[in-house]
Amino acid sequence: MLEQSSKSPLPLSLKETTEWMKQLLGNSCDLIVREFKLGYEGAPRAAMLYTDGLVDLELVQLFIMKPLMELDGPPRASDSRGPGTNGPDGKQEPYIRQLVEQVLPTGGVSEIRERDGYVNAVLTGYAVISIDGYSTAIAVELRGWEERGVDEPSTQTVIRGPREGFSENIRINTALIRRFIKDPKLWIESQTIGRSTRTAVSVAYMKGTASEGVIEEVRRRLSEIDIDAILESSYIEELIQDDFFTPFPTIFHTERPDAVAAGLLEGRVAILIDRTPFVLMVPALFVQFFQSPEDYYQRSDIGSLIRILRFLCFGIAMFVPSIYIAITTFHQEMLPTSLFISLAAQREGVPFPAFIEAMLMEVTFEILREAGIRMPRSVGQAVSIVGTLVIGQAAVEAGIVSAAMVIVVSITAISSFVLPSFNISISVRMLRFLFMLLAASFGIYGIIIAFIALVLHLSRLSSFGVPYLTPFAPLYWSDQKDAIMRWPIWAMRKRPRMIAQSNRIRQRKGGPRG
Amino acid sequence: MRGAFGKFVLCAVLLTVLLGVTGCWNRRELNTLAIAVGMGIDKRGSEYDVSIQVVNPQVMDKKSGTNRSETIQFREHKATIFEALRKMTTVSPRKIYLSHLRILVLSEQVAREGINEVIDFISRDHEARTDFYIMVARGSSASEVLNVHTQLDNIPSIKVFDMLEGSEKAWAPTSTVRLDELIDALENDSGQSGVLSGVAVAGNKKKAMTQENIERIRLPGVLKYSGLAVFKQGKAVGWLNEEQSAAFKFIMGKVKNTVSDVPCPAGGKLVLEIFDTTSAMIPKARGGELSIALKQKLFANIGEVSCGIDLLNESAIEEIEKRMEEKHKRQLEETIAFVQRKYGADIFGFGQSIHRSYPREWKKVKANWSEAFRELPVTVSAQVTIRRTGTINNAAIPSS
Repeated sequence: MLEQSSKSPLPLSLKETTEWMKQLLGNSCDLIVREFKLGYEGAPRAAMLYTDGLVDLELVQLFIMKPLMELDGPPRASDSRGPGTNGPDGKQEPYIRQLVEQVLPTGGVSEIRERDGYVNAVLTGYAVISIDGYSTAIAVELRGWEERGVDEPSTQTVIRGPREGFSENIRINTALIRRFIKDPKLWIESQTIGRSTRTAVSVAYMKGTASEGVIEEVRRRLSEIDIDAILESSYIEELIQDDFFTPFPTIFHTERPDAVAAGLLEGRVAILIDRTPFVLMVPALFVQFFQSPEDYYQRSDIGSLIRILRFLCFGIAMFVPSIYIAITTFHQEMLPTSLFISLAAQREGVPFPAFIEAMLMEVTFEILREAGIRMPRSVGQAVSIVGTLVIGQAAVEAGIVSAAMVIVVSITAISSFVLPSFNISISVRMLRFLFMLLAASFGIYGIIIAFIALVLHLSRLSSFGVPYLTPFAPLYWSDQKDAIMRWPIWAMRKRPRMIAQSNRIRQRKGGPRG
Repeated sequence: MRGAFGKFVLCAVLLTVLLGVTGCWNRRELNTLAIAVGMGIDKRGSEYDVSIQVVNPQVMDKKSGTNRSETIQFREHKATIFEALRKMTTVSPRKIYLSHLRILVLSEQVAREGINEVIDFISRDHEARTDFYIMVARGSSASEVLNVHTQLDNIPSIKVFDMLEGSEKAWAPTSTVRLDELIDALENDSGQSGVLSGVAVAGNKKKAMTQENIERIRLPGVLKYSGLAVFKQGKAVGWLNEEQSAAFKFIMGKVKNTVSDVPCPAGGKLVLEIFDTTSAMIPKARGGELSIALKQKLFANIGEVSCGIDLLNESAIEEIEKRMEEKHKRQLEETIAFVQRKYGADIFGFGQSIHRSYPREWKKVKANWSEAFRELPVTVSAQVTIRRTGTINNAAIPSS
């Protein structure tokens, strides 16, 4: 029905309009039709239509109802506009424009002539005023609804750095970015995606810094999306990412305006989606997932050391259980004798092979982790007690797993939490099991083969045309300053090469002071 | 989709290839292994009598308090060592795992009859590493050495290993020999000469092999390092005593740290802690006459003074240095002369050093090196430098 009437003009009769809307929405209770009469003698009847809960009623009263109902005469015809065109029924159409220009004191006002726009305006929170006898309606943007304010982000927390996080409102989010970058070169394009959700999606970038190719690619991929609903940024992410068959994320997401601002200034393109605090950024590189905004807010020496620690933890989380399995079941000769005897002593009486033992603990841990996220907060303590005491200690005492295995699984688990991006630690979690399987079947040989395959896979990936392993493969020496290490700010004079292809100079003169 | 399918096929192919190319595919859980830490080889008639000391992990697990022994000994005899080891599966519930072997003890009889068979097996076996110490049991059988109950480290083999390792660093007479070193020594141009450490059961031998041994503060019987066994043609021919062993290690330049006493000018003794040594072996061939010059440099601190001497006096220090040089020179010369005269075994590697510097001359003497070695003139020079006198200068309480 909507499709049929999408481009057709609005009916002239007020009654027809309201009836049409009511029917279209199936008399939904949140469609409010407020009929009234304009203030002066002989004025036409009017109706205001809006979705309950999406408009700020107080403002509507103050800026729409009050001026219209207290109108003491028809608005003066503005000569400059000329005589105006006659409406289909002979009444003058400029009447509507005069109302907009002279009576309604609000900012976001637009005229609607088509049914499609009318429906859309009502459903997106405009207060729409129809006047009997006119086929043009007035949409006033007085949106207002209960909303979570700007909170501290719950992911990517920092000790030093701004505490603001994005909220669900795209307008607030663009404002948060704009507050960081007061530069006319920050361009924000907007569009609506999703037939049912009509989600506002904005693409933000620094004109002249961001690669035009990437911007064009983002536009193209977004325009190709044909879906009924976009409920979260992950919908967009999955629909526009380069390669689905990889455990690694090729699109970065963040809740932090400072991280987005930094990315934009480096030449990345941000995609903001309404109704989610998570903003996507492309192109995303492998090293990016190991970087926290905090790296730049602390001194560069500690920032570098912490980054190295993260790479180390990535290695631990990925390889330690498999190396443990490989060494204890294939390469016992590699261990120092006393450690070997100690491990053997712990393994005494454990009924399972090391691989089963490791799987048992890893899967248990994954269950505990998932339970920790999904369960109601109030039962959290019970789960952690069960998790630590019952599973950890009792399993060792009962001789089902060895103490060393508990240590291995624990260090693995903790290491995976060190990574600042949750989605890279998901990759590690998945790959870990593959490595364990190969370690149990082929020993260190299997691990090496899988590692080689992993590196090949990573070097094959790309994110919006930029190789995923940049700046290692292809190797850019100047970009090494902000990869594994974080050089002092004064040393990072140029923007990353593959991201900002033009306008690469950050600081014309750089160097330490004194 | 093509990419995904291609990847799947690639993975499948890789995994299949993996299966085929694994050379030593051998998955063993830790608790299916009998960890052998010590191996003793005796002779029973013409057969080898092999004892294996394996760790009992159940006891090593500290939670289970038992009075069972930390180690278990399996023993089998057969014509060859490999057969004897395999026959051991008839008594051992677990596979004997040799990679963590710490010591290999040969009985004196085995050593005297020739160690080539033993060396061949142990170096051919893929499981054994080369980092264990090989030694000759002196005055007892190899099996008995592995049977001594030890304190501080409950596993006798590890105890012996640690003892040798520690002593080797701090006491000149102690030398350790690993498998690779032994093979190296026997294979070079020395006429299969080399040395192996000796180990003996000191004290009450009978009590040493019972649980009673570790229930006392003063252990009735202990395992003790005792000199070096000299090999010639792969057979043990005799022993070096403590002094000779020390001299041997000085000549090989392997002394890291040791102590040595020097007679004081006014009677009494003074002890030097030698903390650094350099040893140079310089072969010479003048007019077809081969000779070896040994140049030793010793750096020492004064460690203990039990005589009246003024250490603040530079000439007194020089006197001590001179006496130490003389003593050291004499000790080395006597040892070399003893080995030349009594065993005629080139354990010092003089032959190899000549071969390297004078290959043409070496060819002439190679055939009867063992005789030429006996007559080889060796000159020793020593230079001792005293660096420090410790934390005090003169004795706090001068000895009378």
